[in-house]
Amino acid sequence: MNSYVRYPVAAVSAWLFVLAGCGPSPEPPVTVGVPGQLPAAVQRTGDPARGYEILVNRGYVSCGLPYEAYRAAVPDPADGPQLPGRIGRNADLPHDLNSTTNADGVELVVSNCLACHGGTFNGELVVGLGNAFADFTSNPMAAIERAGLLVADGAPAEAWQRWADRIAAIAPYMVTDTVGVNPAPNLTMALMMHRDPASLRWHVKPQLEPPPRAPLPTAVPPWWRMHKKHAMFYHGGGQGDHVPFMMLKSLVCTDELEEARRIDEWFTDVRAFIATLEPPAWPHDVEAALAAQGRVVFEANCAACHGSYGDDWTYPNLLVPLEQVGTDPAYALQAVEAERFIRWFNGSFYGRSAQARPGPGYVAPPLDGVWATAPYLHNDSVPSIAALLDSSRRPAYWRHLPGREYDTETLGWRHEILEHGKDGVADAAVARTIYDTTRHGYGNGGHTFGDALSERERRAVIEYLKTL
Amino acid sequence: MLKRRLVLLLALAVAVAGLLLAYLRVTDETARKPGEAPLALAAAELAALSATFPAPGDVSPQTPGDLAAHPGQFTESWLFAGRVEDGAGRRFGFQLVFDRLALASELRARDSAWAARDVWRALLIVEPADGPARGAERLARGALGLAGAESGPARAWVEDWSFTADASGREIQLEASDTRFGVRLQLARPDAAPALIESAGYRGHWQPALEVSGRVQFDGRDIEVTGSAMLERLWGRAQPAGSGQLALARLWLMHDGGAVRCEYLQRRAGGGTPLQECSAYPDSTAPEPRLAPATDALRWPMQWNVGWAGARDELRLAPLSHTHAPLLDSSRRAVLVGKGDASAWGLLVLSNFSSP
Repeated sequence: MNSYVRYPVAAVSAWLFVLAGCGPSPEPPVTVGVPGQLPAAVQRTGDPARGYEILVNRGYVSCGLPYEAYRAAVPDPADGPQLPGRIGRNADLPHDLNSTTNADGVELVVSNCLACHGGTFNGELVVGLGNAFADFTSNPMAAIERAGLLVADGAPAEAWQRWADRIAAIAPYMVTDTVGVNPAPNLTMALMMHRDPASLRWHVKPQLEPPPRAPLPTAVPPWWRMHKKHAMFYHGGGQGDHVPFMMLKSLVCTDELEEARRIDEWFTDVRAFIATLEPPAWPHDVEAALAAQGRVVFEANCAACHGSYGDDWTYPNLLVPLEQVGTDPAYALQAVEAERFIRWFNGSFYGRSAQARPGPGYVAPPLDGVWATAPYLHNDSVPSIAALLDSSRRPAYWRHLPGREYDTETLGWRHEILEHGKDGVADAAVARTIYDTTRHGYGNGGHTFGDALSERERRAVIEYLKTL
Repeated sequence: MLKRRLVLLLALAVAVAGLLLAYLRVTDETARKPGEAPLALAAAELAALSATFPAPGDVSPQTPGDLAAHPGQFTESWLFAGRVEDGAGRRFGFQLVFDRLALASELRARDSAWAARDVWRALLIVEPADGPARGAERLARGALGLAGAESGPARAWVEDWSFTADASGREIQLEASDTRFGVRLQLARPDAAPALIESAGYRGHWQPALEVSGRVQFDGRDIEVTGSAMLERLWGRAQPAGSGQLALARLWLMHDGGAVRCEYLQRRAGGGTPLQECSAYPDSTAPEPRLAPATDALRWPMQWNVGWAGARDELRLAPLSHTHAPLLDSSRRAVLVGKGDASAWGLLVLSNFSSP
């Protein structure tokens, strides 16, 4: 077993820069995370009920489409899954849109957190479940520009233009090549490059070197694990106070510190709400005897990293080094090497109480409700728990089958295994549905610990995971 | 960030177009509420009204090039445009358009021969090369025989302006004249099928390479001409037009390599990224051209550059006439010709650009 080693590239390169005397005012070195136990931090306390009210009703993303234009485009109230506690206009909007009014009195329809953090299972909307079917494979700007056809002159026009310009600035960095994976880290970096970290003033011209155009794929982790976690993000880089990280979505439109402070106060309660979330209960039967056997196997083979469960749960909060976990390293390495963005965050309004400190590894997550969170690994590359526990069953190329049917045997969404990847697929729309693990950042290797188990043991562990 | 449903915005791309605003000036007794000013049919009401009509895809054309009326749709139009020349080589452009708009979902029983569910507009423009264009518009109720459309054979008329197709739909007669200009033309459609148009808000087809023969009247002269034309037939809940914060340029280009129909949306105030969609005829897989205004993009650009990937030179298109005809809805439209490419001609329709 390899010991945890500090990842030196970023820090060393910064010091070389200083020693070489290559500039009049070298920036301080960036401290990256260290594999091992992640440091705990006291989190703010808040009002969970108010946090939920804020989450599903308020404009923490403060720019969007003027309501009149939205209603012209979508005349009828939303008919999709709805949430309780939606107030006023919000009650008539889809669950992933909120209503707010800007300083000019223009009522806006804005995105909320649930576009990514509201998934469905068994036809039910589950707050906090990552949306594994969200489609970020198209540039949104055509639709956003077209929305201008419905926007009135004056203040509504200014509001629409501001929103459209902001999305246009980040759109090139948020288009994934596969349906289901999420580009949030990349688009957050794209937003940082347009903002002054101290004042949050928006710069039309980027102030930092841009991130790569193609986002690395990430899965959206479930919120109900947050109360156990010392650090946010797969690389463990969201350390200290979690609130500033949770409110980063507001970077799209929040140009004033006063507004940022208000959202910060709101998200104290939002975080408190998220900390109260519990995973959904497995909706089918469990073979109790087999699950009990699985618990034994799990505690002997998995709990050291993923923790134990029940009333006396434990969770070690470990950042497992890349060479030990062996999963696709691209995401963690990109985060560690993105010094300019680490520096931006830590020197910004958001970095007052939080620290961006990504490390060269991946956090072994708590597994509460893990059966609901397919696909698996940080990049959604493995479609089921069964394949996660037996690397020989991991498909190189696969795609979801229509209908979002859940496989209770393998704990994953039913999928089709393909003989080919995206290359050579003439229809771009079809290619976007194919998960191609040969692509950069999409690898499905590593985490082969289950290979050492017998088939019977793997089946038992799967049964046990249904109980978490 | 993008909500997929925003794609539906396309459906309303035209809901409050300038064309419809022109119609709003027409008295509508059937839709008027007690005490309401007779001209007060608001754009929002029109948009809501349009939603009560069947979706455009619900209509099955009788043939791919169907010119028949579709009275069950909220709006429909027939557009004919062409470039012709006389024996001496003098060129003219022409445009003849018929638009119908429903003001109610059904005709209410009223004791008035003027009662109408629909209003009609017809537009006639004749554009001499290097001279001033002349245009006229007519608005009429779909009542008392003032305006209407028929099927089998297809025909639409507004007063004495009309188009009439023969039973096969292959031969089309255009007749329209104002005091100092007019057209009496025979259009023959080619064998090739028209290209289908599918949008969330409308359906239809378009077809270039119609052979034209007949006569153009201009400034008291009756001139025999021949040439080429195109047609576009649309129906649905909307018509393509700029509105809100977006201006729309529609451009049809006929050239040696074929023909192309494009829509180019841009912000009226500048900024943003223009949106362009083109479809080629007859080969829908032909390379898409790049459009760019050749004059100030924000101020009714009447000249355009068209380029193709891999081609070094761009084609410059400019109006055939010196001036454009003023229209009720403030749109601008002109037959274009290629500078340095005599084979190329086109039609440009601009809407909702900013005033200078």
